[in-house]
Amino acid sequence: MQAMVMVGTRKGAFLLLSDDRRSWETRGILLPGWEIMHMAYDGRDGTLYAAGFSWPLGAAVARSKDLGETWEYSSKGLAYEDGDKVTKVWHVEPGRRPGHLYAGVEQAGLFESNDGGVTFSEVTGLRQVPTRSLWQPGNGGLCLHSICVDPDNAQRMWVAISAAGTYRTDDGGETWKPLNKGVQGDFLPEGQEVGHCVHKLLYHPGQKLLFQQNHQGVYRSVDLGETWERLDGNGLPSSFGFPAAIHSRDPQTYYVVPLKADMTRVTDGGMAVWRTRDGGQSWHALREGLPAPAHLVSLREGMGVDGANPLGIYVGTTTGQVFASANEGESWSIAADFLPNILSVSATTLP
Amino acid sequence: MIEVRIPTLLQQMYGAPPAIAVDAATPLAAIAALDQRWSGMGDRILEPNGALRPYLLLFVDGDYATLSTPLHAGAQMRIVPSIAGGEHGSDIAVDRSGHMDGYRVSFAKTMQA
Repeated sequence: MQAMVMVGTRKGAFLLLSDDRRSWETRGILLPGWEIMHMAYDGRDGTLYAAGFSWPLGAAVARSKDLGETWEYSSKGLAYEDGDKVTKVWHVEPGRRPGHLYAGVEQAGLFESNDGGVTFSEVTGLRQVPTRSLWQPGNGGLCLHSICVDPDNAQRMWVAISAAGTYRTDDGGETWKPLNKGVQGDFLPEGQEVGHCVHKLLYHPGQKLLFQQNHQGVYRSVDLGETWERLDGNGLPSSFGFPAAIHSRDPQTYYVVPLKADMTRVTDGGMAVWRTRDGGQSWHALREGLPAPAHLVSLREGMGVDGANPLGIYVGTTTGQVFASANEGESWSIAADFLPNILSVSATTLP
Repeated sequence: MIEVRIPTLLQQMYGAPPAIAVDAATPLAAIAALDQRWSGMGDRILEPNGALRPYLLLFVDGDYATLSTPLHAGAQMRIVPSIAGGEHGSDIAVDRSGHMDGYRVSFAKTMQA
């Protein structure tokens, strides 16, 4: 088994490869000149996808069939008919079959490709929701950054938009329902159901569990998003953070990187990944091997897990470090350093 | 035939040479020729609505050009990305009034690094 960590930065992409998850080979810069917001690997057909944009050359999805040796770019169909511009691709998510791909973009919207990222078409129902008038850009822009596909229901998926909140479709994208009951938003009028600032939304299909790091809190939902249970009052030092991760096999184990809120927004004192083993009833800091003091930032796509056993976890920072743990977070080491500003970290294993 | 000078980033992306000769009567036709040679390159130069991307400039024989500027045989067309650096956010604008003398291009404001 080989672990592969995909690192998107403001100056291009890197691949970190390791046979033992202790020593790492760094490949890059790949896609030079592009800001890579997120990367994903579809193991079903061996395609590597990168979501990105270039200031002069626009937004596009790049794809590689040879682990980054060569790339093809496309933005065919990544456009709105009403004249709104697609300025960035924030997230790429392999879909329901090989060659099926979702892309979340700014201005917020959802696109899909049925030909492996060669052409795209808008999932138009999302931007037709009556609550769209309540969508507002967060500091990162009005972006659709999280896409969760239900592998057990071909008609169901979730997306998260900043700042709008979580939406779910149960009819293949024709209609979408906002799902933010129980989510706090002090910056919103009381009771407003849309306008929430989800930072990262994840889904664990085995337990049908949704987990999110929000601008204001950490939450999970065990009823497909109908209601949310707040989890950050149980020991987390801050309700604020960007990235999130769910353990691949244990749906009671989640990871977050709290940042000192609300204005400073860096790790408080030292770098730490916080873990719960009991579904958010208690949280514990994982610090072994992580620097202190350290005032670091990890962004919304900044944490990934590789699915191996024991689970490998990887966290990237805006100051160019990738921290790696091969033992579920118990201890950490630096897999790469002095990279450009890291926008995303995702991981997988290769045969 | 005219000569199209291809910017470095597009050379890297598509394995293209620094310059190529194409048969085109306008920059728009020249871009179509580039896209025919390197599929997708046209989408990097033009927005989905067909306009030139806002952070690209066109020059023909050193003068600012539009997509419809007539090209004469032997003309040299340059595609020039904006220079990065400077103010982030508001009122990004490019001064398109100046003659391109060599590679000197002036910008009223510039874009984020």
